[in-house]
Amino acid sequence: MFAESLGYSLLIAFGAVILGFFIGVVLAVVRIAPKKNIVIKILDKFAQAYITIIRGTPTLVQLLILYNSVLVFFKSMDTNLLVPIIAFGINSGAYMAEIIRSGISAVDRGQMDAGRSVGLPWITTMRKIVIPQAIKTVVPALFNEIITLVKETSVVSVIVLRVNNVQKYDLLGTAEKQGLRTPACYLVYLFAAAILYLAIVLLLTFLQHAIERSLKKNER
Amino acid sequence: MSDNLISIKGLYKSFNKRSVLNGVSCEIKKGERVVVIGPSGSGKSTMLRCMNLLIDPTFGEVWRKENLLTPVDPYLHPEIIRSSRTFKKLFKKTDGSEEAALETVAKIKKEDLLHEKNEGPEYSKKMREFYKTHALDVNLARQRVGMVFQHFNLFNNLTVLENLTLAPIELKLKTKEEANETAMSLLKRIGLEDKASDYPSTLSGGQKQRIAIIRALAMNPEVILFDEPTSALDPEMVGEVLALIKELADDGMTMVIVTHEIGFAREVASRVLFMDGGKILEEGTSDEIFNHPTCERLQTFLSKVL
Repeated sequence: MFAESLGYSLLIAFGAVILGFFIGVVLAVVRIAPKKNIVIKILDKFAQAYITIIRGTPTLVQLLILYNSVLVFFKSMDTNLLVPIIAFGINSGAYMAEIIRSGISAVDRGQMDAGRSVGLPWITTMRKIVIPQAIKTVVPALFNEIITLVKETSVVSVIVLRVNNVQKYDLLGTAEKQGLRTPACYLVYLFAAAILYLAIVLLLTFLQHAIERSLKKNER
Repeated sequence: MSDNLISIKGLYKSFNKRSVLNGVSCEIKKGERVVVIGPSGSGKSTMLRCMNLLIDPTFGEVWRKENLLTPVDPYLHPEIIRSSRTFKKLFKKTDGSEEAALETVAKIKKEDLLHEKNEGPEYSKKMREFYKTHALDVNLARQRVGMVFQHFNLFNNLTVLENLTLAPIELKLKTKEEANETAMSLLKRIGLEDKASDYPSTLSGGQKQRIAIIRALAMNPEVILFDEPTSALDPEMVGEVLALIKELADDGMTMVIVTHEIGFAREVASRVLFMDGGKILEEGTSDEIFNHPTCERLQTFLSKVL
């Protein structure tokens, strides 16, 4: 009974990580770009505001705001999996932006100088030289954020998930549903959900170490 | 100015109110090997980095051949000053002679009287037109100005071969095959072809710097800027790097070298600049500078380093 809900939890987390990472890289680059023209200055102000607001409000509130806005504007959706994916992606993007920005600042300035000196534009040097090195140094922090995000997806149990107009549940949602049905076993279901979250996190930790090892191999 | 590969004019640079360059001008002609010497903090590296705009000067202009890389500095162009309201106002009070006009221009320059926003449409138009006719994209201008850094700055996330081919391929100057071929022949030239697929972190300092030099060469540069290329090397590796630079010099490569290696400077320079306090204090052939220094500051400097 947990198999399907495990799938939904993972799908939401995976989608949110991808979206969050993309948003994070873009915001980090905007924050770090030299403020030479008005467009960059405006984008930078926007990025600052985004990060401040998202980090300053609870994930649960953000999810409920998005969920209810969608209800207001679209009435009903047959499939609304995108709602939590976008909500968590937007949320995680703000945190990843700060992580990636710290990684970019930690890359030796000489790398950018060297890229520019052979005629590469700023953004190409960022993309090909600086960001790959920045990501390498922030892998541990990034995985920290991904693990937090996976666990935070349990918050979706407060909204009604729908796929083809059938209500679906995430891990915690399933535990609660089963708990309502057989209250005597509620704790058992909660423990089962907890163990599954733990299993995902252990898998991610394993993945993190594998990635760190392979990145080190490149260096030596 | 046609045979000048790079010209800098009246450069001033300050970092947070600390001024590093105080009015530096010089031209680098084709085939020249210009060596810049001077005490630490004299602005040598800053001047070099201004030459390819890795540092933006606060005032002054940088030219690459016939093209302007910085914004227009009106103080360098009397005809632009003459179109300003400030000039017209001051000129009205004089007798109207050409001499008075020259004096007015000099006064405006000296006292920094121009205010961008209040100089009227004629002035703005002149500024815009001058910029439009001469400006060149900095990225384009840098393609054939190589640079070699004190700390090598090889791309750490790329192999040696990729370090050499990234720019030619990204900038669509060469196909991947052509770029690889050029890179391998350059590696062969310095005897490091077996390192092609290694990462920079596995190399010695001398190897890194020689690869940094051929990375510049891979772009087929017209001039190479060396920013203290041997200062971060173990003494035993200095020789191999200097030998390669010497080899390029003998091949006729135009270069500007900031260095503390006085012996090498003497040997390779076709012209020597001595800088201190953000100014070029003396300029001449290596014989003039090292054997017959005239300014006192240079004499004390040489007595300490020789």
